[in-house]
Amino acid sequence: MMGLKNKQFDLIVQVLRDINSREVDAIEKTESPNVAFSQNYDETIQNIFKKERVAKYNYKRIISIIAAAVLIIALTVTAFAFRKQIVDFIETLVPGGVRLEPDGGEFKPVEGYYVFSKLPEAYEVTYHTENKVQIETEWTNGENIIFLQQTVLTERYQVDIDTESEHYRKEKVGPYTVHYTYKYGTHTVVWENDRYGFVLDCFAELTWEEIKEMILTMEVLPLSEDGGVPEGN
Amino acid sequence: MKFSDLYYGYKDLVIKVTYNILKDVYYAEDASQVAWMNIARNINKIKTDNLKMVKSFVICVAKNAAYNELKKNKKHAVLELKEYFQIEYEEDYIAKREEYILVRKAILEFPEIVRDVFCLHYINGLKVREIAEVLNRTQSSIKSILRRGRIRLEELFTKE
Repeated sequence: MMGLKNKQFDLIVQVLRDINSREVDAIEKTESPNVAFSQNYDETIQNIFKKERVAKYNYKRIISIIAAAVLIIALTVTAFAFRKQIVDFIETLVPGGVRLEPDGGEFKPVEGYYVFSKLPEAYEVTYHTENKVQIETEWTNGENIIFLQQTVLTERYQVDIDTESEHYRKEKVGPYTVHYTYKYGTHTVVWENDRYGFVLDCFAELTWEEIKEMILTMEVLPLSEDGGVPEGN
Repeated sequence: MKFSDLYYGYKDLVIKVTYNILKDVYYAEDASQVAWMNIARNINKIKTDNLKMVKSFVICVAKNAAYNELKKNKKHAVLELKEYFQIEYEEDYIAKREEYILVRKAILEFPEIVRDVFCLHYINGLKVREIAEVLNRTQSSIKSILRRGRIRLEELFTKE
């Protein structure tokens, strides 16, 4: 791909603005239904307004209080107290989930790329890119997308997983310990082997069993010469 | 941008968006509530006072909440490809330009999620991480959506 020229980019932005503006007009012309929000919701909204007013007038005081609290915590608890080791990852509690980071190790460039030898029907490779650190492959069936990111484990590599989702699970799939979550129509699975971290995003109507089957069919292929879509996939 | 101003200014707009997609008052209420909570969390990502751009941000969040509500209730299998708001075009002077028509056709053929991500990125100036937070998706999914859209448009210009 050659990339978009400035003139082409300007035209795209102009078209987007036009479409957007007409969509707003179309929505505004529609009838508004009678809705009555629950008392709980109204109270939540009022609380947000209240917080907004407090934030506006007392933010300096709030910042001072937060800074003092952080200092006290930092003095009394070491960073390691928030962490516990799992397999080769360091699992760190972060707001809304867990962050996985590899536990050190030397950097070795990508040697081969992983693909699923068995995919749901009609999926084919539509995008593939390679560099020394990361490989991304995307399969689509015209409507849905399966996206696999393979990254060399380095000290800087990290993945956040939402463990608060009711769908979150951590289980053994073949040789891998995988973390799975499903949120807003996207299945996300994260796992690693001794060389790479993998993130699989499926924007598709798939079951957990189908996703597990896919992961079990992972095989490693040699790198393509041009970094483009590999032939025969 | 104050949340209270947004809320009072666009409360009706959000309800219209969610209701038009969901066709059910109760589901529309739920989706609107989710949308407003999401807007409250991401209010700092609105980087402009331009009302058109603010509206488009609010609409993107509202549409996304409505689609999620639809999926949750499993009413449709493939939702994002469906066009909920029919946009009518007059044959004005700008639309007569062939290149413009081609690009417009290509963008209108994008799934709505792709258009929304493009608008948030190229019109509202949100970064990939910010879009992921606003639409509750992963950063890699947003990157993928942007890349696919760009590739399609590049192909369009190459064919000319």
